[in-house]
Amino acid sequence: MLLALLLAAAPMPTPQLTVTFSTPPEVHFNRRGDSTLTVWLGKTSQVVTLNGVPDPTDPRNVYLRLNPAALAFPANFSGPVKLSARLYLCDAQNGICTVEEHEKQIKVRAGRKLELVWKVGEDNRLQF
Amino acid sequence: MKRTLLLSTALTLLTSACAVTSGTNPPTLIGGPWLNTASQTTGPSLAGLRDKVVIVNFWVYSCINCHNSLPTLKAWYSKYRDQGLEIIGIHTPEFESDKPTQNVIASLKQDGVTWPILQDNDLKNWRAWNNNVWPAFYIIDRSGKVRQFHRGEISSRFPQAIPGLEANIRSLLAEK
Repeated sequence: MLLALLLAAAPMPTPQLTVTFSTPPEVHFNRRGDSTLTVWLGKTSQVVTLNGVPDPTDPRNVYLRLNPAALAFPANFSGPVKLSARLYLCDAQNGICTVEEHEKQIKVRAGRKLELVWKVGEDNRLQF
Repeated sequence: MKRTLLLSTALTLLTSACAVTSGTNPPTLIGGPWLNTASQTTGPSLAGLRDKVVIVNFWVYSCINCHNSLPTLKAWYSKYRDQGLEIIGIHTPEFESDKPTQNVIASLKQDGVTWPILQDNDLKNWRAWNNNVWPAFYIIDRSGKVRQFHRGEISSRFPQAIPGLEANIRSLLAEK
């Protein structure tokens, strides 16, 4: 039933939460694996496969960036939402590929629109 | 917006702190199968490779950055093996299609990789070493301690690190 509350990528009427993934320059997304955003309301979850902007030089394998994920909830819904992202990343500057898993918890309030800019791919730039 | 952020956690295959740092003894290699060895059930141990300089390379055949690094490793293996260099590849899958052993064997043949490869489909070694990227290179000295780490492709496309790594390998080989 909670699944019925949920979301979806894009075409829902009034998105309440828009998630945008932000990466450092030249960190792109590996299309060979599906980067996903899992949205949890309590113990119920739904997985959203993230699409993006193909790299014109390698459109089959690389997204230059991901499209924002627009998540919609019923107008009267308020409460915590857990987001889990699994992202396939490649750093073209350093010749590195990696998989990142991140979590965030967001408080959604009825009638409010939220925009989350989620910075990812920065750990790859840390040095040993 | 900011006040709605109650928690921010980075989990990962990744994480911040490196378990294997310069000067430490690396974790024991575990699991299998082993490829390019006499038997798939056993392979060289790092303890058994004391007195050698060892490059432990975390890689996966389908990763272009890993693939492009193989010629550099092959050149070093050819050049320095008789001076005591050994390479151990830890093949860690990124995708399900990377897991079948026959796929890995085919790639080894195709790319002419001859050093021992430990197939780490369960990521046990990846986690034990707290590794988080492909490709990664840990250089271990003759006493068994990690002396250098490099992450990222080493190739004609990414040549910057090669001279330093090779100089260090030569220096470690000279240590008796």
